[in-house]
Amino acid sequence: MRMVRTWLALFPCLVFAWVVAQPKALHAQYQNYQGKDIVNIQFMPVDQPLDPGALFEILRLKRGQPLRIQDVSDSVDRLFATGRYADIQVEAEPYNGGVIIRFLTKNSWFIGNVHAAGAISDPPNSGQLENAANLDLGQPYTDAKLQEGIVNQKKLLENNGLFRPQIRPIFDYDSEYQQVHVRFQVESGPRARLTTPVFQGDLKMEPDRLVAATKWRRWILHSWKPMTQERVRQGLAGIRNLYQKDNRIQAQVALESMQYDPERQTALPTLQIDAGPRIDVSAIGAKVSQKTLRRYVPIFEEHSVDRDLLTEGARNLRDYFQRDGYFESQVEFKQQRVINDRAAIDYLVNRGPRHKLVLIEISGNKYFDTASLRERMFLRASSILQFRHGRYSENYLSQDEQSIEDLYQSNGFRDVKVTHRVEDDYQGKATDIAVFLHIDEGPQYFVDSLEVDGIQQLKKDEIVSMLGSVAGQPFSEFNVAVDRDTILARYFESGFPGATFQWSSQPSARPHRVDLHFVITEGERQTVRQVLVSGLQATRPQLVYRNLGLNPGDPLSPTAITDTQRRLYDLGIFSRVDAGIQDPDGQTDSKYVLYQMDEARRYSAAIGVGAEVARIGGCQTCLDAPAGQTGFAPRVSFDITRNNMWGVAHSLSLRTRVSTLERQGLLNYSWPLFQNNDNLAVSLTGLYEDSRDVRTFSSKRQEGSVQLSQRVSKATTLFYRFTYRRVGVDQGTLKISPLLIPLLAQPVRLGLLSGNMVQDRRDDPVDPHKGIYNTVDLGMASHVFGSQRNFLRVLVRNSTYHPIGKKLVLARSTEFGDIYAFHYNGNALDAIPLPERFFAGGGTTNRAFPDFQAGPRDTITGFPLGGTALLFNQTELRFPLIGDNIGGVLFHDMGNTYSSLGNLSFRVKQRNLQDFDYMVHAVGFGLRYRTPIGPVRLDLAYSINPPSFFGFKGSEQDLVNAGVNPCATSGKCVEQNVSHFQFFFSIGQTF
Amino acid sequence: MTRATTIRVLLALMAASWGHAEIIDRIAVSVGNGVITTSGIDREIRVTALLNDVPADFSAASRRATADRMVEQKLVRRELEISRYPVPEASAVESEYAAFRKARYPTDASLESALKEYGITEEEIKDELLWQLTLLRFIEVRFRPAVQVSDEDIRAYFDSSVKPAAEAAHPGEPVSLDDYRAQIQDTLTGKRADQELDAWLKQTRQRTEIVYHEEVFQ
Repeated sequence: MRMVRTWLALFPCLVFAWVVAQPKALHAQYQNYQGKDIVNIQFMPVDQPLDPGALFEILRLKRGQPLRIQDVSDSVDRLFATGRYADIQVEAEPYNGGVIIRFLTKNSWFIGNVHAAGAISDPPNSGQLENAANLDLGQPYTDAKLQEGIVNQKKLLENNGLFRPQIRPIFDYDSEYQQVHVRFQVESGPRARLTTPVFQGDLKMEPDRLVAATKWRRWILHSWKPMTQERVRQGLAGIRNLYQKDNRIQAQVALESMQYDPERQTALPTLQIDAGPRIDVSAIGAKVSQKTLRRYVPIFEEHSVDRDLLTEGARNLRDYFQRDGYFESQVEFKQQRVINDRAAIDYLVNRGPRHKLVLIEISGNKYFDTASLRERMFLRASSILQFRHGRYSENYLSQDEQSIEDLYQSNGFRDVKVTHRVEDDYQGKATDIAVFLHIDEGPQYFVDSLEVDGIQQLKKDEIVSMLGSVAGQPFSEFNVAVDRDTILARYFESGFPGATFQWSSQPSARPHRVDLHFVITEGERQTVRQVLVSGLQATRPQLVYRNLGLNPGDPLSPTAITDTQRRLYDLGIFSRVDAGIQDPDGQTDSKYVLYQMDEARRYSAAIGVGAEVARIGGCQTCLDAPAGQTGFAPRVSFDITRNNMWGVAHSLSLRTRVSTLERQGLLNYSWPLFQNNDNLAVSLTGLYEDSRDVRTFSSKRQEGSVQLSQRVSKATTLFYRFTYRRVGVDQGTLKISPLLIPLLAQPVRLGLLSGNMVQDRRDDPVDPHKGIYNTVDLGMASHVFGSQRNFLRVLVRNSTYHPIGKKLVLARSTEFGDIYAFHYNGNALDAIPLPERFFAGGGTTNRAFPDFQAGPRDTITGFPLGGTALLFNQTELRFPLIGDNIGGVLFHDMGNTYSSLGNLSFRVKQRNLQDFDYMVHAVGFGLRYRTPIGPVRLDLAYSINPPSFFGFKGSEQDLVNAGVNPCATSGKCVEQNVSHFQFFFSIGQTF
Repeated sequence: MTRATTIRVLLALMAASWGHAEIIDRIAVSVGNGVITTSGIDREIRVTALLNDVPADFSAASRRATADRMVEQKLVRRELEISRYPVPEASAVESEYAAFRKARYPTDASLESALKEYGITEEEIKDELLWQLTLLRFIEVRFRPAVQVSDEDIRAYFDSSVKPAAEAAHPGEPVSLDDYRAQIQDTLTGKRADQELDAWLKQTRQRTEIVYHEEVFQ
């Protein structure tokens, strides 16, 4: 009995031990359940990151089926492959003779918003620190990645002299979307100063010179500058340059270490230097500057001397000479050994006679015309200005042969052969050479049939209609590659990231024809599960959501993701927009698309300094030089903008400009995406301007306007505008007859309703070669709008650009304008106040005049009065002149500003000194130098029939004292004229 | 504690132990977006043990070593999939399997008994053989073509290894390099291909996120 009791007492302990010990024998436990029917499948926790439908589709296990451990293992594998889980365990629980299977899951985390903030001493800025963390949006988050990121950040800070940084990551978990947002709280600490560097190695130079070359020490003060990565880099580059100047081409300069002294707060750089020998590079047999040698011999750039680089240098020099007309030039090099720290590399140049490539003849071509082939070639026959000796080198010749072969092959001529013959002393002239290219086209191969397999989820007809390699079309591997790109691009856009393309071909029954077979493997289609946006501070989320080009259920298209990213950037309120897919490698068909934004600074400011040089000079208080004198006007400007007002991308900007010619303040409120429409924008503007750009007067303008712009198409934009302004002329600055002052110089208020259309179909707005540019501006000032003057205003411009051959462009532009006064008192010509009249002439209208000097003039003082009608026509012939970057222009301008539409005339002769209603012509020549921001323009014009006029010699007081008819009584009226010669210098084509 | 209480406690504990859910499988190692499960390790140990004709060893060290080997398998399988390397058909192992059976389990009864003893199926043995064949093909296609064995290498190997062994085996007989050249070439190529594989595996391991769930290997 006692024994029984003892056993009973021990039994619970044994059972407990057995139960506890169960998990230890993992390897065999599943065998207890193999083959039992699965009664139920459960998940813990119940809320899973995948939809229940998707979840059970993934599982290999099914209710009612017998349990197989292989199915369990496969299910775990497939669940994990979705990327949504960090850990998965599977439990089995016996139930009613069967088994309940329970998946115990732990979700994984993905990287969301990464932000660096705190006391960060720039450089590096917070953006650089965020990048250094290398935590990419949407990628799986792990502690190891975070630690690696922090190490990178510390390294970046240390490289910038910040040796005592504190970095603390703060996490914000978004369990709904499995995102972890990381904010790095950074205290960058004090920045160390550089100190006297330690130089190791073979310096061959005084250390003081090296220290000076680093520019790490302040001039005069002799204190050391704070350490930054850029400063260290520039210091090393400075030493390398110093050695380069000393012809030590192979000098190696490297930062060995940077030792931080926390007590003195200094960073001690140790530099490892191997100066290497002095190497003198020279050319023998031809005069070649050191600058040219440095450009063409790569040892200077590579800081290394070896046979390959020297050979490349010889080849470059040979091409250089050949381009210059020395087509037979030969360049070899001789390298001398180092003796007494010196070595020499001599390039032995045998230029041979200078040639001229006078002829490039192409024969054998039937499929392509010669002009089409020539435009793909580097070789150029000589021309008077552009290529005086032609352009030729063996390298160019072989490139041209290759490009012609490529062109033919891509059009089905698989067996094409291009051969050449260079004929020296062409037609007996010793320096002339001719190049004869012969093309043996061979047969053209065509596609006999195309079979496309594998397109199931997209429309096959649509895809096939986009292909080039269809039956009857030329067959080439190039075309197949284009088709492959087309097909795959279509699949990627439609959410098939795993789509693949394979092709094969076999000879058809007919000669020179092939049967093509494309096989597409579509893979799984991926869709957008949801679009997640982070990083918004002041911006209203609705603004962002309205601009998303992706919605849940849409195909996961990289194009659509990038387009949305661009649209968000276009709002102009984000300094950074990162786009990503959460867990892109996870095997789920439905993905979260992530956008992470950094908002731009709320305020932006700009200060500018500039100057104008033009015919804007002359005495301000006297009546000298009515036709203008060359003058100089310095200018300063200050702009400030408050961006993203109200969080809806509106902006308020103030722009100010002060110069000796004008004072301007402009306040603008901009409302893009009006009515949530991409193509509509509203702006409200207030303007104050006090200007004297027209030499006749200074005007003051206070203006308020509201404008709606509507982008009708890619080329056409409409503007609807209402403007209310008060314009007044500073009476003290007027340089016209006192009789006219009450008529033309009264301050008036104008209410002007206007519409403007801009149609731009040019191929390149900066330097167009073909296309059309039209503008139409219609406006009406009426008392209905509170205007004190009533008039209609129209200004129309039409410009067209016509290529002539491959090199020339004929450009023309016609401008017409009229101001028609109605409901006026007195003379219609006096109804339009001075500042509202047309003032034209100059570089963009008629180069016969200085700026704003065309049209009617005051019959006594000779100063321009402006007109109420204008007609200008400009014609330019644009052509290449020297090389590829300098072009020339021959132009003819005609037209004028007229006193009225009725007085508009094509007459070329001025009738008398009070007649300005005639057409002034100018011809001239211009130079254009191509730059990335547009051509720099210099025009010299000769005016054939410039106007003459009376100018008053004297002061304004003299004019007043001279009475009603000064020219008759004072004798101070003298005949003057606009100069025959005018020049213009600016950036951009004339029109 | 009264007897009734003791019995109730006992029954409750037994009920708890019978109704107790057990972990039957879990992730042991994750390799990129693939996993190796505990059941997979268990199976691998059993199959390998049968093929090697040794008792299955489920010790922590053995499971760890098996997991390491399976990680390498995963990496190779992934490379095969991504780079679309040719893989042998399942039928390609039939002859190997037949040879294995003939050598080790000539009768159905002996095979049945062994399978029961090791707790595996015939298919699992074939899968293992197929994997070995796949790995050999992979090495053949991926690494062997890049291996260069020079005449100097062959001579050095001959002098250092083959010649002494041959002379010891056949004293007094002349040993010529030409007799062994092809054999040495094969040996060195194989060794170097293996070295290349090891280097590739090392690099791939570094590039791939591999997480061991250490609690599984306790």
